[in-house]
Amino acid sequence: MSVELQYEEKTQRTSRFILKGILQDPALLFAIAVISVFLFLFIIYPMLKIVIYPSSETWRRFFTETRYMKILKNSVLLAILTTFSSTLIGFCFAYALTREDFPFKRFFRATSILPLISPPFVTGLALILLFGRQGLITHALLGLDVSAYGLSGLWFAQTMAYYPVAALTLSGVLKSINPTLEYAARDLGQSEWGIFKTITLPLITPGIASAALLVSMYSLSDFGNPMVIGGPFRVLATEAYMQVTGMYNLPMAAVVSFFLLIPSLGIFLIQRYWVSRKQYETVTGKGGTLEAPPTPPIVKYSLLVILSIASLLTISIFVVVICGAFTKTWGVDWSFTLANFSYTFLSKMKDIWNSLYFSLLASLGTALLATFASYIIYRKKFWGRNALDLIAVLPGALPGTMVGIAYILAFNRKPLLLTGTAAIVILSMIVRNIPFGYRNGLAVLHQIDESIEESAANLGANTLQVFKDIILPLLKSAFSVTIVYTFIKSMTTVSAAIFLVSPGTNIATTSILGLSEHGYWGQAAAMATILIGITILTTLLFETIGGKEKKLFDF
Amino acid sequence: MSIGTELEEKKVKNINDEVHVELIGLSKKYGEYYAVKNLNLKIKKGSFTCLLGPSGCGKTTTLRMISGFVNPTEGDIIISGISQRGIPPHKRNTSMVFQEYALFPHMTVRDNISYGLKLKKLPEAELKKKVDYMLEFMDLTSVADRFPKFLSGGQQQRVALARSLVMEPEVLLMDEPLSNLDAKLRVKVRSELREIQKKLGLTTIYVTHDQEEALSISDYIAILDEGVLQQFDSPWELYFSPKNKFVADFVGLNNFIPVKVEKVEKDYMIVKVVDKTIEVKNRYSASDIKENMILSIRPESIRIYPVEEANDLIKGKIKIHNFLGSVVRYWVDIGSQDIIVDDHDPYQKPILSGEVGLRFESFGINLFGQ
Repeated sequence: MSVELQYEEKTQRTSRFILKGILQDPALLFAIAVISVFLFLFIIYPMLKIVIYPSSETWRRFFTETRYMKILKNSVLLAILTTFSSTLIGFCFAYALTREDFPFKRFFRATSILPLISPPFVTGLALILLFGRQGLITHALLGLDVSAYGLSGLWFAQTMAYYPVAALTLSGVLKSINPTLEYAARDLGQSEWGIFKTITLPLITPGIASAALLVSMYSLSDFGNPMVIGGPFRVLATEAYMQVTGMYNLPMAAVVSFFLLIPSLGIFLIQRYWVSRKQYETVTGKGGTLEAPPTPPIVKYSLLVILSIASLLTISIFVVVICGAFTKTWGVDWSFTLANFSYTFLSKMKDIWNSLYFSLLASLGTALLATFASYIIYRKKFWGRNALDLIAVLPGALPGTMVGIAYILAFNRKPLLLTGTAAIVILSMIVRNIPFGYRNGLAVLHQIDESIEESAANLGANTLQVFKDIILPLLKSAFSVTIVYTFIKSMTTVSAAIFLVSPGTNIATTSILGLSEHGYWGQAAAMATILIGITILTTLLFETIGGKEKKLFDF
Repeated sequence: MSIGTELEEKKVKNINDEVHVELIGLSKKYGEYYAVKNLNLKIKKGSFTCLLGPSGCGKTTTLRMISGFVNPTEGDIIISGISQRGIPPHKRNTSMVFQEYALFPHMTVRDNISYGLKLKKLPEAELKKKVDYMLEFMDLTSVADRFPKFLSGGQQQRVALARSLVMEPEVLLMDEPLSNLDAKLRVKVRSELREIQKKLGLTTIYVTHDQEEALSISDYIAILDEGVLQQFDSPWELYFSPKNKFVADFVGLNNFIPVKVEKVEKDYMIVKVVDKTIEVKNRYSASDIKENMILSIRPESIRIYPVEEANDLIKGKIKIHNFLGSVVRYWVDIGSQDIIVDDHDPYQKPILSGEVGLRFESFGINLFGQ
């Protein structure tokens, strides 16, 4: 018998064995069913609703009215600008933080984490306080009557909010480059600049593309900043919201959010099927033992200047918001007050509790579901596995605004009547964080040898028992990272939730947006301060307890 | 014939006596800790020299100082009579093959090998000729347009070597280049490596922690421990005449037995092992000879006999044995300790058990201070 035939026979035997295995393991069958139903019901079905719901007349209107075309152009323009600036600054951060000999790394790392754990609109809020009509700099110091509302303010706000996203992606890629390559190139006579040009840059190009795509996705789907600081500059995300709340035109909102989805989905697919294939694996057995070569001083000091400016800006954003929280009436009466906080505690406490409560439930739900799904989809062989894998990471490409609108459309009728409930808010939080938890689970599973599970199964454990007794303990770190990450993200989320909250289920972020919309800057700042306080505390707590090996944001 | 002249014959031939690389009082300090301490070595032109030692012994640091990646704290490196102080890595006539190969993953095999020559701004035609020759020489022509990740471990290793050799270095430096290969391939590649080195007559300095590899491949071996040179000799001498207990212990398998020196003559000494006295050649200076010394003897230098044939031999009792095919290895309890004995003729007599007698062959005996 030829080798190939032997192989064939072997695989046939295994596939027969697999089918038999599934039928004999009702726990597995049940698990696959639960995961499939959840993913289809809460991801695929609402997305389909968006496409089906609007009439052809609505679609036609979107294309023919210049107003919508203008908004579409605005969104794209903003995304291009933000992507460029964020990726550039993010690259500087990533490069500096992955060099061995760069000073103040802890400080720079800490400041670049700040935007990642805050509501995205904090920058917008700070800009208003500094450069708005009542702004500290424009109004109080310079006596100008200008405003930061519009494209430039929005561009700045998004850049400050999303450069850490690029930095995070790029530092992962930079770290995977073996420093020995640099030594080898130098040994062969290459200069510092030559090494960067011929070795580093080609190796990280896929990473840069990846980071840029990610940032553009964030920028497109950003809702909070355009809401706070966009002013007359309308983008798709805010337009969809206006259609729902201002004009009660749900079909048009669906169409607008669909066009929010198209670029995001495109970027997601490019990322998944093209960029990831371009990634180079470094050919090496053992890790390098050479310490990384020193950074050329001119590069080091230029980076130090860039990072310092970005970090100082970030810090000042947060300082301004905190100051705003303690100021009586920003722009008019600069005296110190605690009134903003007492207002928050008196009338907005329920929203903060909701935020905490929903986020906690969402983080538990996400961690359980995503981890379990990663285990089933990665380890078990069954029909439709690849489709489930795609669906599990798909929400990463869904703009929050779209998710919000899709959920209103999908769950407003019996038997799936969820609008107005806390459940729909929590579900939206879960769905949006599943990709993170799922990938996290995969990364750990990748390192667990299959034979461990096989031996447990050999001793008589079924799928659920293997998961509970073997996988879950081994996935503990992935599990806890997912919990904390989802908690922070849910505490700071706004774009989907704003469509789904009702008077009883308001959360802190939507409350802050409401306050700032009505010009209650002080109260908005006070609530934002409390919110950021909670997320910073959570991060610190986790990093202290978790120790070195558990990092939320791995720079 | 004395042991000395026998050794001379087994020593390295065909090596120029000209010193090519010289390390003079070389030290590297990290904080208060010496990675390498006062290292003096003269490496001959065309020789294959191994730096051997346990991890953390300073062998890799030494190699990196020679390559120029690490600056020495004290001392100097002379290559072809020229001090290398202040000369950057690529201006030295050395080329390094890294443990992890450091192949550029985004370049084909050909581009990897051409990389250094391109930087030298070699004319296109000459560059192509050299690279083609090197591809041919290293048997890589068929994979010239592949990317490194599609090559086997052995091929990757050859690309790394080719990339260094094409630069026509005076001195080739290799940092554990075989440690990423599996055991079988390692043996094959190392003989290939040696063959290439001999063909080119290239002075090669090679770092390894694998003593078998070092013994099989080198003309000379420098054994380092905790940054200090222990012995610099041919493999033969290291194995049979270790200068100290560390070398005796590190290279091959050895038994160490405390002995009492009873008599010292010009040519020989009488030492007492357990309750028997044996004669040992006196190859030691008077100052090295103490009353209590350590005797080292390798398992293959001990003959083992059934107890009835062993009147005046050291008596012992077999605890266990391992049948290893060409060898039967015994663990023999001689009262004060266990001794490992290898019997190389297992087919000539049955596997022994119980009481036995041991004879120590005098050529295999070395004495050290305690």
